[in-house]
Amino acid sequence: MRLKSLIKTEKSFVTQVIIVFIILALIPVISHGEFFVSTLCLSVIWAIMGIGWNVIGGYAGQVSNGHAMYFAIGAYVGALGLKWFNMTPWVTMWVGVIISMALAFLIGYPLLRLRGHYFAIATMAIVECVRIICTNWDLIGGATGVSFFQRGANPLYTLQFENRIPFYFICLAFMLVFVIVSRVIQRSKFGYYCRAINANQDSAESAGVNSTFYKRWAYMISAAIVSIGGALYAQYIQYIDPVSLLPLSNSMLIVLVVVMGGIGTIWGPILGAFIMTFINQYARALFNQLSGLNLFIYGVLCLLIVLFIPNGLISIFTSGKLTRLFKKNKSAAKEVN
Amino acid sequence: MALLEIKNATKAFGGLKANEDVSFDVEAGTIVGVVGPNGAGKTTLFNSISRTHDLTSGQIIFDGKDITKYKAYQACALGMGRTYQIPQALENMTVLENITIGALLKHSKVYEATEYAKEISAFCGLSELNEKMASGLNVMQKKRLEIARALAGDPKLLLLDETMAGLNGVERDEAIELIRRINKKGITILMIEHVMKVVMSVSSKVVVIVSGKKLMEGTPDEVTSNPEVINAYLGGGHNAGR
Repeated sequence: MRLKSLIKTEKSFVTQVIIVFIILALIPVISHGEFFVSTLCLSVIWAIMGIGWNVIGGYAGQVSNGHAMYFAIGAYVGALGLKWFNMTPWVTMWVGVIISMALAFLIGYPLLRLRGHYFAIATMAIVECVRIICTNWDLIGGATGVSFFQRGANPLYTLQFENRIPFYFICLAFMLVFVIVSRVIQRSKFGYYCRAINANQDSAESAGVNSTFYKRWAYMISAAIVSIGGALYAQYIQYIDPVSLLPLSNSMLIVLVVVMGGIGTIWGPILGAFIMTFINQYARALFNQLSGLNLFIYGVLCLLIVLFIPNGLISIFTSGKLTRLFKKNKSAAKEVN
Repeated sequence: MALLEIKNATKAFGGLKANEDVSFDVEAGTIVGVVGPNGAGKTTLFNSISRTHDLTSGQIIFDGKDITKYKAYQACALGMGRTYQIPQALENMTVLENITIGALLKHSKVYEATEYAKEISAFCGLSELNEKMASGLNVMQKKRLEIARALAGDPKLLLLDETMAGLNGVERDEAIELIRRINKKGITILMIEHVMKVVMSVSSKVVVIVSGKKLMEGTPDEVTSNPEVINAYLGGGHNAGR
């Protein structure tokens, strides 16, 4: 009975989920070039990270520029677990989640007292520290990184597939879980309080919101989701090093994926991730003599979106601009009649 | 027993003492007005009571508990609601969502909180605006919204910081009527007010603050006939509120 009423109130969300996931599941059936499917996998991984960042950056409004740290933790724990102990990523990803949440708790304790730009700068500084530590820590591979490809192992155990399509579906399943998590957060007391903190922290506190508590939990949940993204990424790329995991640009791309797609929305991060990844990958492949052009193209696009569609690409669908345009034509036609 | 007791409250910003040795009680079920010239330290006192900032020295006892070291959200959970002089609505949320935030304090399920928020919205005359964004409201509506949000948390004490400022005559009468209705529900009200007519008509006790210190407290009649108050508040040669 309860479930029925839940489905009723969440009707539009459930329809959206079904449509989006059917489309995403059918894409590799229509086109299954290796490069194309790889890009799809990467898009979904970025979408998961975007969904994660959106919890703290979108809902709670605390712009973290250091989420590459949790991405790296997830990746390192998955990689080293497989290399050292031959442990399956299905287990180690949750170890990564626990480490990320613990670290987020410790870092969040002092940093979440900062507001606005100061929080953004502090998180940026911490991820730089982590990068330097990882580069110089020989135990975890240092600057040369970790290579952990397991030849001949069961791909369902190592999550390392030669054919990308099964891996794509595993990533999609994770994304589905996190889309639902994101929606549950949005509709819950937790989500309402996060939005209140985002809107006006002082005002929220005088309405009874314990802002420190809610911000800290938002930060920890966010770190956990991004960490899962990192774990999937490690098994996708099968080689990790600090230069590819922890540059500032990675932290920024997580933010940009969300801002471009639509900050504080359910589908924004996913739309942003697909657009970002496809532009990046294809620009890199097309202009392989000009390194960095991919980021240039992406940068220009970001600029245009921020200037002309400040609420993100998803707002084209949700703001009703399209339907309004349609209705206007209809009513205009009526008036003529 | 008094619902709220303020004992020797002093708040200093560096060398400036915004409040010095202020003490008074608010009895349960009454409406108490705080008056005083601009810059007298009324809002500072409110911020201390609602725990937006800490007192330099002194004590605040609310409902039998010493809340001097409490945080704002803890004071709110104990039953203290407040509004701001400059409305601090949650701008990018709808009116109903704003009130729901307040209601979530006592109703942890969102749909229950929303239902309760609808009742409160109707009580405050905001029903038609429920789906409107708070950023699109005018000042009067925003002030009402703040009252509604505070009310949704079922407070025992409501702190109103200049809810009448900037309202015209008709709006003011409506606001007075709302304050009376809130008080009738059994909610104690402590209000800062510049509009003397309002203070005199609704409050049972008036506290006068001048230059951070309490000048006197008494019934509206006692206060308005006190020559010292007239001097400090309105300058010499006037007769307050008459």
